[in-house]
Amino acid sequence: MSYCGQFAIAGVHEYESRWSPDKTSFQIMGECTRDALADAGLSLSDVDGLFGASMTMGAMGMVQFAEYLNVKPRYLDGTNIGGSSFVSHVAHAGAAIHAGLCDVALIVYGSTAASDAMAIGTGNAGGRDPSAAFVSPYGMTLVSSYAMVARRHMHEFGTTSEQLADIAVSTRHHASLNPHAKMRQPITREDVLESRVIADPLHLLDCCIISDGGGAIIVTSLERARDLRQTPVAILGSGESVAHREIGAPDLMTMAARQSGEQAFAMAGLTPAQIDFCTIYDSFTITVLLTLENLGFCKAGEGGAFVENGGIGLGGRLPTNPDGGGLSSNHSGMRGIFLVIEAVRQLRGGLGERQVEGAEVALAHGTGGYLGLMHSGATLILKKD
Amino acid sequence: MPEKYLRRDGLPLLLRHTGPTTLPEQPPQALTGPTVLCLHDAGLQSSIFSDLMTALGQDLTCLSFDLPGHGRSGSLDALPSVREMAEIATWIASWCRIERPILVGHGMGALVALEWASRQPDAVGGLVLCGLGRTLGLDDKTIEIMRQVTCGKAPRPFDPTRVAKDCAPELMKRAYMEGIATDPRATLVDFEASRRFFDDFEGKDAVVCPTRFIDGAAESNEARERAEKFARSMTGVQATVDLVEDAAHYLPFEQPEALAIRVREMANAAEAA
Repeated sequence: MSYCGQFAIAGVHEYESRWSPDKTSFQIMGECTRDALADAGLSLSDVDGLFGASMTMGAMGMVQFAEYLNVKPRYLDGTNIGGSSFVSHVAHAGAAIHAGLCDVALIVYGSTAASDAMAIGTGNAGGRDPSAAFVSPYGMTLVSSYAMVARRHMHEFGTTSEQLADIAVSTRHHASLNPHAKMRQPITREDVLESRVIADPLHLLDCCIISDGGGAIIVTSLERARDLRQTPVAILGSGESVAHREIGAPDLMTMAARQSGEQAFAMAGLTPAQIDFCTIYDSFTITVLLTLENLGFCKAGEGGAFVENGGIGLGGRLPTNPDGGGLSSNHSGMRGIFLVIEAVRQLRGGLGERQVEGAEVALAHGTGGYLGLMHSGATLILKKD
Repeated sequence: MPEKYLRRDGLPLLLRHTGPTTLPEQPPQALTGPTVLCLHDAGLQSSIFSDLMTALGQDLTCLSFDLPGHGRSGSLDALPSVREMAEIATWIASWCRIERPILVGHGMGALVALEWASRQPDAVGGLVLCGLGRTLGLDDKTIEIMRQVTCGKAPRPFDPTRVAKDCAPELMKRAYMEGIATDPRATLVDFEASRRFFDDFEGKDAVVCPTRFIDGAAESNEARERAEKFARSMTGVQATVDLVEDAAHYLPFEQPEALAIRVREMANAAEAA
């Protein structure tokens, strides 16, 4: 029997502030832990599985955080595969719970990326990893690797900057409905196209913002979750993968999402047509477009037509990132946890103007690393119990 | 230099102060004599005063803070009016239990000092207003450029004339770094608030405390003339602008010792009064 369908998310919390210069990442993580447990109706003493990652914690970071919380979990997972880590942590937690290795898993993240003035997008792509030996010396940055993929998509399929801009416009509209979003002023396609170019063809408004932030997720068995405070959100399918250890191998249009998505859909026994809405890592507009194609929501090359003119806006064919995403709401370095949190909140319902109508089944997909270079992908399919 | 966070209605405000570090929720220890409160310019933060405060800190208690939305204080939004900035400054002074401070206002901070001194004439010991000429010259073009920056349509500008020509490379680098620590959206709100202040300010005659205008000698003649014209329009204050050599708009860190001498003179005068 698959472990999927047997466990659920019982509590979530997203840190509300996008600018917290008076906090440390551990303080943010601690506050999120407290509030996610309260959301679930559990206490810290119930937690026996601890999962997390961060851009700033060292290799022993989760050990330090366990001490910070004064907990002694019997299952510990500090897997860091980039921004998708927390999406994969949910599946890891489910597997551990299914195997009897823990009963209540806490997945947590916190970052002060904005108040620490981290230049996330302009860092050297690949760093000093051996696989980047033929990339880093030539000065490729994170944003330029995504830009290269966007340019390739335009070359192969005729995708336009206008179509990419429409992703930013839809996402900003969603953010305008989210009182906690960092950028809430609505924008137009022209605003995106007239914003300055960061790495051709990506404009400033094609790029995610940088904020402080954090979040926490409580995972337990579906059976136990049904006795807790909130309507459980069950995990029906999950998948993980990696791609592109070096530029061009395999081709730039194939993401890790293809493999992780196929696995998650197969596990859930569902097809893309049965998904009501998505939360997709939107580090850049091209990330959303290419992810939608790789997950099978449209064919390769048809992403531009799929997203344009509000195709992924509320009321569109596939509402995506209804919280305002990393493009407008928050991006504190690793956005995966917010994908899961927003999917859960939408499935619970009651979000007012930004509620996706008829939300029953959601897909959350995180991309970690550098599109076009080495990256990871993690997919979850979630359903309201 | 010690730093601490205060909370005003839940909003964290960064405070820098001279003297020893004090416990959370405890104000800085004050030396005897006047206290100096430094008020920063539009789009900047209190770090611009760090050298000045170090220079003054041996014999005066010095404080500075980041306005909301600036530097390391909380909030994504800056305050929309100089009056609200002055209210924050008075709250800071009250929390720190200081009375009749010497206000050192830089650029927009000078407007905050003027607003406070005009509304509560007896609550301010003296004003040292520096870099006012440039703030008085805020024009539509400057504001429009900043608006373009906030829309992503223009890169954030760096104006090298804010420091004296031929200054040390370290000063030029610092000028750049000080200018990027605050969100441009806050800078835009500051510019608009500063412009509105000059349109609406009617409290010049209410300022009764000793007041001194100071600017960098490397500032343009136009900026100096604007500051002098403003000074002349105030009754009972020194009507000339005292110029500090080898400094432009960023004189608080270009020539902190020279500015400290002038602040100390003001503090002595206030204490004698």
